[in-house]
Amino acid sequence: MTSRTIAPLGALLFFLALTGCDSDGSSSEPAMLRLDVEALAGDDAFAPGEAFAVNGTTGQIDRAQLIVSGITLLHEDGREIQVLADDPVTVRARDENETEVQQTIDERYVFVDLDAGRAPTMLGEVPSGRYTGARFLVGVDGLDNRIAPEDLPADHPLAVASASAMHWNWNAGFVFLQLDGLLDIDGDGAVDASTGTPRDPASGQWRLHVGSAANATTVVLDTDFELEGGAMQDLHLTLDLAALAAGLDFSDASDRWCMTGGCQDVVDTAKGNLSSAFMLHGVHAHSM
Amino acid sequence: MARRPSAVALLLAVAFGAVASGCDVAGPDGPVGVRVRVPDGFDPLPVPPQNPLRADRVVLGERLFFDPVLSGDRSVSCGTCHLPERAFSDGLERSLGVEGRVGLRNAPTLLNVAYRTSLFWDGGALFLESQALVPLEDHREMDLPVEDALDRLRQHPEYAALFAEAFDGEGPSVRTLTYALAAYQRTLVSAPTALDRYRAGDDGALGAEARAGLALFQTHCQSCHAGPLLTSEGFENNGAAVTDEDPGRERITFSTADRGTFRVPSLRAVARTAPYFHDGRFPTLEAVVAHYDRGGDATPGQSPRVRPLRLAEADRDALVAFLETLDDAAAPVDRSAN
Repeated sequence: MTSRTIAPLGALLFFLALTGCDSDGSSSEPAMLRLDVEALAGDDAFAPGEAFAVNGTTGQIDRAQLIVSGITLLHEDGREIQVLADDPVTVRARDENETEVQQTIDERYVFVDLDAGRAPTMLGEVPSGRYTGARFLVGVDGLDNRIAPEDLPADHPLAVASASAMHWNWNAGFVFLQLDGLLDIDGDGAVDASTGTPRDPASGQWRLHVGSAANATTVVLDTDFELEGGAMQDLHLTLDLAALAAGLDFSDASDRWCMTGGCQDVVDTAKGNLSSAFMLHGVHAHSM
Repeated sequence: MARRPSAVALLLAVAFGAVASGCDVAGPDGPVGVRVRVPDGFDPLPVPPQNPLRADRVVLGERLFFDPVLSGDRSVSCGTCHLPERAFSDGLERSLGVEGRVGLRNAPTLLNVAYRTSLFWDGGALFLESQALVPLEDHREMDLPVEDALDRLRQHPEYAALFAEAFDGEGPSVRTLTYALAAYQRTLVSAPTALDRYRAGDDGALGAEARAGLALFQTHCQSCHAGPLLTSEGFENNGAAVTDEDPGRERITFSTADRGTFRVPSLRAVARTAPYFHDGRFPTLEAVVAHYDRGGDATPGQSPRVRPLRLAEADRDALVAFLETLDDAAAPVDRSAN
């Protein structure tokens, strides 16, 4: 091999080293990733306060919020990339023996406020390359659900003072799925007003608040996607609220006001719908 | 209505320099700490590292505790339902909040609240700090959203500076408000009772009838009302019928097995915390003893520990006589410790 042939090869190797490409063509630079959850109402975009078809009747949702954690990206090379918090915080928690312990929260929690519109949340740097899917938990699991939220910084997604405010104050732990709205209960095609009395058969009020670590639900999305190194990208998920409510029995007023306790069948139905209600729509690039 | 003078009288007119236990350790140039004397047999006072027992926090917490500024119509304070002279209970079946609204349950004593592993009759709060927001925001109690409460405190002519002093420059926030209230409540500890003195070897501390009552208590009651705090810290169905409105701990665990179960309360100062049970259904200790003597109301899920005792009248009287000896006051608090 002459210097004339080595020179271009060296230049190529030097270029590859500079651009950081792996043998499979992916960049060794990490990708900057955000999570973007878009709410749908069936085939249409979701709009809070606007009626849509809900499980065979007419409904509207004014508040739709959830907490996502345990976000794990499934790399095609077999690695499972966990998305953790930038700054773990240590707070008090009660273990199963009611002993006070110090709990370090290193989980990346994302508060998804669907009625506030799309607001991508920064997840941070992850390896670039091809992925075969993603997995996450809708819920707050383990000791994280038994913390003193007052110990958290005010801007933490689980803090009482944060925009999420998903901590049940009358009960330890977090509401991690919350739907508040109205339903058509007299069959005239229009949603009915709330009487203000929970479980009132004459009230159109619809509330589904799901909590308890036992109800935290894993969602697995088996859809390929690719993350480009050195680029800001959004992992775009959709959540169809009509699909989430599929199969819920609205005939009983007590099931239209479900605070987890006493309505586990309603909770189980909603939990069972979560995986099919979510879709991984794709990855969208943004300039950094 | 403010009750602050009563608390000051009770908590500050005490002897200093007693054996310290469970107090924070401030450096020579650090904040002034608080020492709380606890009875022999008690564990050291639990103080979380996140919220050390600083005198400025305790003083601020006490002021907040008795200030009706924290209720929606500025008519009630924490101290309205937790009166120092009633061992921080209120003497009502169920407490009254703003506009006379009737609360869900009987106000429990706050004595020794620092030792509880969960709060409320159903254990719904795991930390003293977390507990503070519930009565604040409850429609039937103080009915004030926490953000509104913080706005009031920020606009108050004195509170902003008091918060800044107690929290190293941080003003009113969820954290500082709940920390201050919890710091004060952690200092509410029982003084030694006649039972403590008897257990320490003073045979004359309990009279003959009370000693007979103690023996009955140890036979029939102590499996739940155990240890120096006279509670197992557990939850039991004591055979008192419940309603759908208040199913007890089922509301917290979402388990029907917990329907009708409530916290086993401490019996310290029990003579001053009438009426009794979660809904204040029994006005006297005699009525409580009669309930257990007949084996409860045979409610679904009733604890097997609650069964007919078939006590003689003299035995019931002895049990009451013993319980009345538990009428202790709050322990001394030194707010100038270094």
